[in-house]
Amino acid sequence: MTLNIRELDASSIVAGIKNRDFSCVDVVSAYIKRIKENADLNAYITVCFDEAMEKAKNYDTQLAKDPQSIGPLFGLPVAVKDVICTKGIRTTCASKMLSEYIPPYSATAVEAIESAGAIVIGKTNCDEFAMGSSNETSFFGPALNPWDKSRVPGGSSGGSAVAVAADLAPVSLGTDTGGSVRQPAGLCNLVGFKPSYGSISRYGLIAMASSLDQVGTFSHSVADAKLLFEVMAGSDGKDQSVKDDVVQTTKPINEITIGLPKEYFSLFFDQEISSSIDQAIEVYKSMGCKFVDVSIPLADMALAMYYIIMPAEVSSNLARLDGIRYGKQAVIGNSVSEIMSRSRSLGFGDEVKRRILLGTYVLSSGYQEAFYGQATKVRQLLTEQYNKVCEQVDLLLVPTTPTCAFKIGEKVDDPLTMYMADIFTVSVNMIGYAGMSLPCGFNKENLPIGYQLVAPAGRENMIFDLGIAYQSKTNWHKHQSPC
Amino acid sequence: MSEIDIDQLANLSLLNIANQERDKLVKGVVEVLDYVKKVQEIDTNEYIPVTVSVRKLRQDEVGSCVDQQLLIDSFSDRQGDLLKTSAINGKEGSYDA
Repeated sequence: MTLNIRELDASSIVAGIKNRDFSCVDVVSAYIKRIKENADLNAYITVCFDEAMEKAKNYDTQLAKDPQSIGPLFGLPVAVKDVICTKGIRTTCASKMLSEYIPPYSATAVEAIESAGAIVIGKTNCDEFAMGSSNETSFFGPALNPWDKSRVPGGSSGGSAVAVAADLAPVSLGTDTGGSVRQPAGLCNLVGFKPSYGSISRYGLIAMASSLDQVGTFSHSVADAKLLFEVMAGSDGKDQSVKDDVVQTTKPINEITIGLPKEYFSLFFDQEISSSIDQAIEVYKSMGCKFVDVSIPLADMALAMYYIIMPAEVSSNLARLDGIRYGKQAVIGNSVSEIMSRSRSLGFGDEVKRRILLGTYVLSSGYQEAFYGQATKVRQLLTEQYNKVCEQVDLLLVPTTPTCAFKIGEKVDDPLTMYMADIFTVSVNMIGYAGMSLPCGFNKENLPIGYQLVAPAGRENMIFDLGIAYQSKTNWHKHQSPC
Repeated sequence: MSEIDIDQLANLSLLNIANQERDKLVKGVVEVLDYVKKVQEIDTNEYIPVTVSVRKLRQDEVGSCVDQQLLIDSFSDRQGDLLKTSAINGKEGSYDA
């Protein structure tokens, strides 16, 4: 097997190393070369070339000595979103506030992939503290979409998407709080998988909104998403929301019933996206899947709920970043509280400040019950509606984004319009379900289009089975970006 | 939602809002609050406010934590075993390691 990293998925790379078709050093060197050649995409905030090469050399030695000892990700370079802690490697959250932070420990998700043999090759760009839908709020500047460099890659895990879409890494880790893996995957022609809430430990993921955050993955193939999920899933004793009693269920493809929620399809989205999703539905029908129309009346309320609950949690989680307990400290101040205020004002960007202010408002005396309290009640109603529908169907199929990738700067000064980019993805986080975005076509400007498969906890394997079957019948995921 | 007391909100949030960013931030916050208040139209009388549920609590036992030396080493500026911080009230402060 020749080493053409643009043609190989993660599983093929690990198999190639195992079969001695190429070495770990060959693989890491090839990705380092591509990262250097495509530095203008701004996919990475920090690269770890020396550490990655050192590890690759050690792995090649280990493979020669003991071929049976290798893990399922042996020698595989992985890019990691810069909100996920990596021991000894700078972890900035794409913020000035943490621009010098070097964690003394690694996140459980990182430890899991490294234990399986993965090699962290760098930390990827993202929106500041994962707050954004375009990667434009990063202190380190926006990552560029490799399908059209004048456009955003989506967000917040934009750099993780760019890294895989441009083959600067075979797979990457992102985080998904309201669509931050699935939305950029849709805009960059990738498989973006958000597992159900509580399936992967959040330990070491620097929290944005704790009831919504989840580690997710970017890959070209569904099989790679499954491989990573199986390595990372499970309890570590450090995140009490992790469910280790969920039993995975699946069934033959031709016995699966897929629901189409009418509330999603009645919202405005591009006609070309609609046509591509119709074609994807036809592929599933050709495999024997049954489709039924379903109704989730509160689905169009999810974005409003999200923009109450998420900022409330943001304002709480980011309170510790004050330059005293955590974060970069402003030098000048006449009191501790002034140091804190100045540090936060200088350390945070506009979008983070806006969400802290929003969260403080909806939690403040006089407004808490009307906003935050009410949103948590409506969240229960929404969950009940989804659960009821998913008693009748196995999964749901919905769009990923209302439009294809938009121009850099097009929405950055209009927060509400920017937030609408997540209108099809936030529900999944609000109810704790799993969701996967898969490539299903391109528009006339050759920009990628995606759709989502959505299912409750325990049906991740059904998503994988359907996705793998879909990719065996289509070639959208094999289209390479121009970069 | 016609107006908010941005100074009070900034004070509660431990943020200083510069004059040049004030209008933009207020406009964004007001627009979003106007949008999200539609959740108040939903009848939720049968429900009580609930945040995320914790599935199980761990035993209250002493466990291991990150090595102390790693934490000390991760401090950006130090002198011997003393960790240096920036000045407060014009005096240089430090915490004993």
